[in-house]
Amino acid sequence: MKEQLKSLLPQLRRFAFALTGDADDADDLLQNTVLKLLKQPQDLDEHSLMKWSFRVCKNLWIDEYRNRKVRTQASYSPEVPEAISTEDSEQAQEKANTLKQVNHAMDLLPEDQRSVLALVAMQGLSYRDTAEALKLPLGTVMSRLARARASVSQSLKQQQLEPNHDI
Amino acid sequence: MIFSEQDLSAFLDAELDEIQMQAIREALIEDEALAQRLADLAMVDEQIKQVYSSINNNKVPAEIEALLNIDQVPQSANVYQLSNWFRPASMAASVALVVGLLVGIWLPQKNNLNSAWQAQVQVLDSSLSGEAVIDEQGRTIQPLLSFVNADGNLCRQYQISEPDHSSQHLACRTEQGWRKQLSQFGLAPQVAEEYATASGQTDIMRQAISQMAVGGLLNKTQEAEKLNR
Repeated sequence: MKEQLKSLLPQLRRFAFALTGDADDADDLLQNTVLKLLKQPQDLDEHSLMKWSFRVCKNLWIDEYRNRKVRTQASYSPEVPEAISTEDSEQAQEKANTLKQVNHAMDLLPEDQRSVLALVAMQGLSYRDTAEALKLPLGTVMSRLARARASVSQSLKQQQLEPNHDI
Repeated sequence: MIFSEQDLSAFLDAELDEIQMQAIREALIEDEALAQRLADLAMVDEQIKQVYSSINNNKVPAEIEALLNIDQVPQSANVYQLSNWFRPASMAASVALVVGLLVGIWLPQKNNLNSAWQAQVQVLDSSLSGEAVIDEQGRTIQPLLSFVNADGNLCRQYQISEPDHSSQHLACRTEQGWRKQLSQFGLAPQVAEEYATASGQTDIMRQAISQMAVGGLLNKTQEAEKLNR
């Protein structure tokens, strides 16, 4: 299963980042997810393992992170990747601002909408796979996703109109 | 006709039946406001992908690498040294490019293989470059090119395509079976016919191949000989 998890790692990491909004928290969540997955080895095909992994990650996020009510500042990890450190500082600042805005919009979402949006919009999972991963009816996935997208869209537009709004 | 946010959201994901999809397509032609609503929702996805994919620019923490035994490959002449979670020099702005290096991944040819890897091995063993095969999960596996490395092993670049994303891989065949050397995930969807030419390859793949290949890429005849076809 380790080999399968290695290939899943980038997807899981992105998902963890989308849930937590902070790179350090994301890696903490990822580590705990991997630990939990390794403790319960499953004989699953790649696709089923992927869905199970997302479910474990989301549940951990809800249990450990949301309950701690940690609201970390949206930021990149202190270890700035070379790709960003060599960029023009204006571009880097723009990226940091975008992260803050998107995080702010995502933070406004209820947990159930945020996890659905992260799986469908970012990971590209089908509605059926998302429903199976999160143990939800298909219709619930559709409605939560639509509300999440509309909410984030509205928030991003509002932030664009009010660039000095303190988030 | 009025379409709800849920209708538009499902349209974006092609999760409506064909009649509903067609109704929205037709409405989009005339209704600019509808088109704008759809664009606003699509932009949400783009922003989220762009922002949260950036974490894979960061090195994976050592603790996680240790959990999954992600090791360095010893350097040898003419073999590209694969470092853990290599960070690309630049990111494509519009495509969520995630690079994952599977270093020294030993994937035995027999026993304990999941069906997805089995499908890949079968394609690598028998399909010529450009021949697309659809596996049980509906993914398209297509070898792109072949070469021989410094150890005399057949190596192949291939892509796995799904409706909304694709991945590319580099694997070499040893006496013990196929072994992945490099994988790139989260690439834009690829049409089966548009298999890799020099312009279609990513920089990382091109660099790895140029450093590993001895004697250039195999032509169809040479490839067929290696595959015993």
